[in-house]
Amino acid sequence: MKESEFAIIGGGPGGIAAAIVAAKAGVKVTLLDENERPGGQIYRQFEKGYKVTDSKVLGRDYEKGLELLRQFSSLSDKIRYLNNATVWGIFKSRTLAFARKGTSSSLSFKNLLVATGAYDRPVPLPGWTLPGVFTAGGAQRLVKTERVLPGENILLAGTGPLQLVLAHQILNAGGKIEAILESGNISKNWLRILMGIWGNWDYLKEGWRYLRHIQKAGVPLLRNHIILEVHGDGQVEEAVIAKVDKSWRPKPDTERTVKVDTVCLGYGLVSSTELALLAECEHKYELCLGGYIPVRSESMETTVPGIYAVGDGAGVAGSKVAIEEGRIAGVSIARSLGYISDADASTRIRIFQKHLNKFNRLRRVLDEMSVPGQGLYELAKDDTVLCRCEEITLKEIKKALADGTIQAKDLKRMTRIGMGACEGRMCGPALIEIMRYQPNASPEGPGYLLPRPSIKPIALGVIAASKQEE
Amino acid sequence: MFPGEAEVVVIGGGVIGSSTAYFLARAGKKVVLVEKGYKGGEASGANAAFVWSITRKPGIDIRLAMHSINIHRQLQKELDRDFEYVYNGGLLVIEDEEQLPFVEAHVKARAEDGYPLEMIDAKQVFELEPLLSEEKIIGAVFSPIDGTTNPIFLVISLNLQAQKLGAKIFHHTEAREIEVMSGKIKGVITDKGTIKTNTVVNAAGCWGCFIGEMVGLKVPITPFQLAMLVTEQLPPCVSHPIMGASYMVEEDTGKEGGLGCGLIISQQAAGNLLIGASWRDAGYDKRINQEEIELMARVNVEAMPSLKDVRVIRSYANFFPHTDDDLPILGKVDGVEGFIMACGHNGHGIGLGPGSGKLIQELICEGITSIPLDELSLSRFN
Repeated sequence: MKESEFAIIGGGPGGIAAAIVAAKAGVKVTLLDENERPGGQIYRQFEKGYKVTDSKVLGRDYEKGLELLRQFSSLSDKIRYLNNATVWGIFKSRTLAFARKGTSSSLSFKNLLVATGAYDRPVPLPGWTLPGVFTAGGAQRLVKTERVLPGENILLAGTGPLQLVLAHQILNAGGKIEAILESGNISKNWLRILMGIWGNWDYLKEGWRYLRHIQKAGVPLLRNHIILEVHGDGQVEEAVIAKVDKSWRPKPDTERTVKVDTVCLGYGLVSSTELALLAECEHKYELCLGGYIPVRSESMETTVPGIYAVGDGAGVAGSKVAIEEGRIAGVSIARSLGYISDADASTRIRIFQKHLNKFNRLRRVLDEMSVPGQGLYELAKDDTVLCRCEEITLKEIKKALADGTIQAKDLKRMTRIGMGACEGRMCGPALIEIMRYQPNASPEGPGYLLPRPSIKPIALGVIAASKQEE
Repeated sequence: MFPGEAEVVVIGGGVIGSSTAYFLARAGKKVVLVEKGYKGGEASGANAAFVWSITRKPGIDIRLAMHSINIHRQLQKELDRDFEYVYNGGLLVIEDEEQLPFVEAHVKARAEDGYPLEMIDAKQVFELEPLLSEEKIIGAVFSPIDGTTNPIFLVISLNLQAQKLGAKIFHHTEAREIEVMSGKIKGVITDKGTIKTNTVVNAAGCWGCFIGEMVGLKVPITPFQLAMLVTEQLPPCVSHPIMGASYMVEEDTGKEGGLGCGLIISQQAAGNLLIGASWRDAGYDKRINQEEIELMARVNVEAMPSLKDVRVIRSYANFFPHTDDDLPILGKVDGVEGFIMACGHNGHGIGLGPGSGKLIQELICEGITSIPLDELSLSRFN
């Protein structure tokens, strides 16, 4: 089997940026992308036939992404781009397995970059399984890709700047927003934000533009508010909201009901770490970065030599950070393969690192404001379903915890939580938070639900039709 | 609170240790179980989930299996928490003419021993399992008593019931040393404290050899990896545990060494199919490799073509305690009074475990067992 000197998993900003710098240095790159076309979630491209006449709908980040994508496609002779490729396993023989076009293939690699991105933090609360409840990311995808509004009267509940982006996009597409609930404590930190973003005028201007747009449209932005429950008969009909304290716990006598048909939950993102975990990279827990994330060196290398991780999949920090991290990883790999000199690499990494430090200053402040408060994971009631696939309620989890189960992987055995088709993506992050706050919690933390191949559902016929990658 | 003493200390919280602890507690013994990991965390939690007799050999092997099947049914009545045990009968399917002589010889030997099996033709097989390929299957051996269980739930249920009856169970608690004085067991030193006792049951599965070393015994157990796939949940579509007769052939020709795979299909109560199984010699390594997964997919899709559209959501691999004669090591040992072996079940721990637990309880409480254990003693390897 031929070995790829540099394989990248993920065609989002981090993966693309890494591919560009590495390919320009002469590295032969193979990029495996689960999507039809490069761009990831943030620079999601439209199906052929759609034409964007007004790029305002998509925001300015998207325009910047197009430039990156143009560079990527200009290097198509140096980068082998495999679209619609679902990587379903990484094995200790330094090979990965991916499904594509109805067959499964194997690719061996010398260096690997895991740039798998992030997904919306799932937050179990009463009524969250009702039709009409979306994640902010899901709603955004509807608006951006399908050009469909998620509903007629929409409530946005969550935290952080992504909510503002979504609101901006819904308003641009002609949607009606009842209110935006921000659970974090934004106003008091205003000064610190300004200090944090000193030198990041681009970011500030963008945020400001979204905020202005929302104000102009008359949408109330309710700070220190949370959604408690969603009610409805087979469909969202109303939501119960309340004011919260610093820990995001509802303040007494502040509950009220709002009539809405759609709820978008946007409590930030959690990293997709299944592949890095499967590759046995060491992980550490960082709540505001998205849970358990890979431990990395300055060159973005994980604890497994030759395996790198960048972007939201290695700690949620947004597309700009992903791009700089991708560049650092790309240059580091080009150096390790001997395509560029140590001195050249160091010079370039210093520049990327400088950009990174600038973005990270801002991130730190935003993270502090939007890090989920403990109250968020107290919304679920005993009969709230935590694991949608196996229909496991909080009550069942509590029972297993009372029996002395202190590790997430043991709780999976006890209750079947995380054993369904989503393989723990929906229930895992909430389970970890709930376990962390248990009185008998292990000081080392609950650990994670161990992923096993196939990490995404793959038809047996596809695996049976496996072939060796040419 | 960690107990300072016990009548019996069971080392190992898998199906064998948990069954032993349950039956001892039921008989009124003060029993403490220590498990270095979590209940059913090793082979007992990752296997084919069969409660099975078809391939068991004449002699002590089939006697243990039959006895244990009865214990499974007894447990189904006794334990408060359900463990999804169902028995509609099992099928050993014959995939080609080459397998036939091995199967026929086995059926004949079993009949001579007084444990007959029923051969059925291809048509009868399809009536029982319509999804099996008509081109692939030429017949089967049917056993009406065989079935499947939920191994993890079985271990949990045994644990809970044992605790209700007074057993003390400690997980994440590792036995470090065993105290022996003048050839007699005196206690077990764990990382949580020392337990004084005169009786230790070694139910540590693949780690049984290390527990044996603590009292100076050489226990010839080696790990052997077996891997399985889990599919998405489906409506009821497979109602019997199905095994390919290649296992009979493999057993007779020796399955040591490289990668092998034989047909295994069953459906769990939750709707997931458990399909497999591949095996290889991988030491104490639980990681599955890509070849194993691909091989399992090919073998099973060939036998049951409609599986091709069913999605795999997970896989698991584990290693089973292997002994040279494929039989467990049960009973007392020479030279160390109070040390009792209960490991080495060769991948049949779920099926045989409850029976073994009952036999060990009889040995400890009554000194005599309903099946003689002489053939299963450690000394047979000397």
